[in-house]
Amino acid sequence: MGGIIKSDKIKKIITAVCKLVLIIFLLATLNRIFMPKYIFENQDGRITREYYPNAKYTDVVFAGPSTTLSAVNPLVLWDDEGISSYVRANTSQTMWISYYMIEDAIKCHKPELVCLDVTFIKYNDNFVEEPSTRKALDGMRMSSSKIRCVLASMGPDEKIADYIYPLFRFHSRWKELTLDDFKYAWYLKPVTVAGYIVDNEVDPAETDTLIYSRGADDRIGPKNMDYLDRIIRLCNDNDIQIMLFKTPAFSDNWSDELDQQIESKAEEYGIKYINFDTLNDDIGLDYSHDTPDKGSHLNDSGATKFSRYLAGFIRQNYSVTDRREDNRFVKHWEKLKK
Amino acid sequence: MSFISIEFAAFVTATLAIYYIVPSKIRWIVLLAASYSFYALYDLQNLFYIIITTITVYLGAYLIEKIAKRQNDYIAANKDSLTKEDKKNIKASSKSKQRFILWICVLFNFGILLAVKYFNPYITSVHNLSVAYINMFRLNLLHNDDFFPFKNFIMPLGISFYTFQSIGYLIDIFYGKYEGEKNLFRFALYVSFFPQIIQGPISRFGELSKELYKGAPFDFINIKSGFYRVMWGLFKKLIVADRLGGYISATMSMKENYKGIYILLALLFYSLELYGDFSGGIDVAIGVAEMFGIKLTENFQRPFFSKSISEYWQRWHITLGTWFKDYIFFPLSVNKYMVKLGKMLRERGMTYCAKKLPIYIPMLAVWLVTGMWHGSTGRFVAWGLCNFVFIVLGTEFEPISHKIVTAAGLEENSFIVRSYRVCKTFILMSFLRIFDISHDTKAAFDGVRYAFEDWGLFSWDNVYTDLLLPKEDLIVVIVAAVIMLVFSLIQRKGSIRDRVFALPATAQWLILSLLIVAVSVFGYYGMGYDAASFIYGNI
Repeated sequence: MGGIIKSDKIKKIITAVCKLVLIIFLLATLNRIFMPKYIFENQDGRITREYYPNAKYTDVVFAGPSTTLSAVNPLVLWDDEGISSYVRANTSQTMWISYYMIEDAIKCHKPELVCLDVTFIKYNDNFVEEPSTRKALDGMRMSSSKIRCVLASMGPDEKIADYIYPLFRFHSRWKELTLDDFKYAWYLKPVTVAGYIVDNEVDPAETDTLIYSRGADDRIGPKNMDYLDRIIRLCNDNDIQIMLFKTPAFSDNWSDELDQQIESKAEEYGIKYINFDTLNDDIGLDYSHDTPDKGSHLNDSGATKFSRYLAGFIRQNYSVTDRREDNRFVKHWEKLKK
Repeated sequence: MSFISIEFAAFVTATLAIYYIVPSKIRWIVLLAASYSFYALYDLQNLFYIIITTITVYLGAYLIEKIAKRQNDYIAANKDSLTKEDKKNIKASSKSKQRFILWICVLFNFGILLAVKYFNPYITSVHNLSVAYINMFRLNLLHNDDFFPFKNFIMPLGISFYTFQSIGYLIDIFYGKYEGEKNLFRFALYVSFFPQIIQGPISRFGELSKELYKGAPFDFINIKSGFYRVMWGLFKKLIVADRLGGYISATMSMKENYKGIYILLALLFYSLELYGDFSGGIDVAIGVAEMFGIKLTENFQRPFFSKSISEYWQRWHITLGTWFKDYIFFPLSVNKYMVKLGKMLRERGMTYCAKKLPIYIPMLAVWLVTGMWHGSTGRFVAWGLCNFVFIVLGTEFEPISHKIVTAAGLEENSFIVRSYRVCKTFILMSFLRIFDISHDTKAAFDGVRYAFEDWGLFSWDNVYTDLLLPKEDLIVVIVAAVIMLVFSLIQRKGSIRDRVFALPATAQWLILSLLIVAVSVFGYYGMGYDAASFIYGNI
């Protein structure tokens, strides 16, 4: 009698667990269907998600905004110097998002070097751009880093629940769902090469002289500065080398004042800061060919030139393992090339 | 914290967990703590008002009962020496004291309600003038914001609902319907029970107290059943009601350009919106209470299938209707002046008037108060009066209507006649709602006039674009509204949830999954949508 009651209880528990699993699966599938897939456009929305399968092959992490993702081609770094890297960059990626991207990366696989593009530090502390934040964070795995990143990045109308369960944000896409949304709900083919997105457009810059035109009194906001500090300390605490840099761009939206503040911060910690705008001639950039948008970003040709220079620079100045003799890495990069 | 939020879901889940963990004797304390926390989370200032109402009504009831007890004790102790006349005098004197306390409490609490509801703009003006006066004399004695503590009243959440519920309790105590609650904190729970605080239902102490303090044991069926009810409420609120708001406001704000069918559609949609919003909110309230093993009074009974306006009001916001009936209509209709009026008319041979007027006068008072309860502006009074006029006309013309039906060779209970009456009631009620969606009485009458102009100029394209109801949303809302109404029809034959629970487990889960998917996907919520507020939550 007791045995029957016990088996009934077990049966009930198993049924309840099965139902719960089914409900969770249903809700997860719904979520996957409704989340934007970024297959054919806004492909930078895939960079964060695609990092995780690449994490264990990442010795160098690049973090920064769109200038980074258009300028650093990890394939060139691999081919030239055997540097295995990943670009954890996104459109309008703020310093705080970069901080949490690096923290998340360290939790997955400790890199040897972190290269932080500081271009976005010029924007004020209140900068919020929901679509960009979503593209950067929706693909991030759930962790305390993600939660803190969301809290640091959310606009006043946003809710943390929308990031924890993105269906709350994207449910209104029911009007625009396509077959692809169902087809790619659970499996998405990679669209980036270690975070790099090829752009072959050419839209030349309108002048041939670059003069920064931001005001002389161009103070970095306390929140930006705080996160810059935190990124450096995070790397120091984890014995990771760090390089601060500004990617080359033919944009006047920068100032010497900004350079000075970042330089003094770098000096404070004994690390390097390089504004690659000053090395345009050495890199060989030609803004009549190497930009898709009048100089704001680099196109594939510009990225190849810059990445080649960057590979040499990293090899000369930092201790990063050359993985070209490591079969595991060779296979990984061969796969990425395909 | 809104009813329609993840925060509320988390709040209810946490409260449920604590509620069922603690011993049943103290479960009501968990509910009280949760109710006050919920209320404070909305706005801390709210607590001040609800505490004042709780304490004054509790004290009022206590004093009324004390007077009654003292009177009874005195009569019992002196029953041999007191004559019948003495006893009558003592009772009259006690009743007069009790009535005095009742009126003090009623006036005080309705005074607060009136002040926050109707005089807010005046109080703000007094505040601004006073500040200007002080500044003129450069007296910087007080900070502007602190100067007048009651400036800029934020209307306390659900104040109409809990005031009515509390005053109902006090009147019942006055009439000796039941024994008053001795424990102030238990009474505080009756006033503040969080699922019903926003928009009712307005419960009676006799019913709700039994449910609140019993500390129901955990039963999974309550959780399951409550959850279904909550999801159904969200279906009505988020899929139907909130989707229609944009079209209604756009049409009414541009009614000079969008006349005829556009306005008729706005009226039809508003009826659906209001029903979805209000009954959906009530479903959430009843569903949440059910999870705690507490049964709340139903507030709707398929109002859209009423065959007359008076029947409609017996099925719509039932708890408010019965409150008015019990505490205004009945006391007024048996009032000595009404009795005298009836008698006087009968003596003068006006038998028909003697029969009808003592009913219609209290009814008029009820409708004036109902109008004022719904809003502080003249259009709501006009709305109440129109309801009164339609009900009187309906009652007076009922015999003629019967004659017409009979002359046409139809049965009163036939499908055609019933359908006709249901449609007529729905159309009339929808038209009356124009007072709700117009900014003043003149605009409401303009709206009625415009509804019959320019019928030929209607184009669906304008509905989809200028009037903010895209085609896809229109399809969703039609399908959801049909489901809502069909379910109402099925409900006539008993609880739908009972039928669902009688189905095999797989079918039950399938239905629940469909409901969850429908609400999650087609619900009008999230960034860019305002699904937070309920229309009746602002009353």
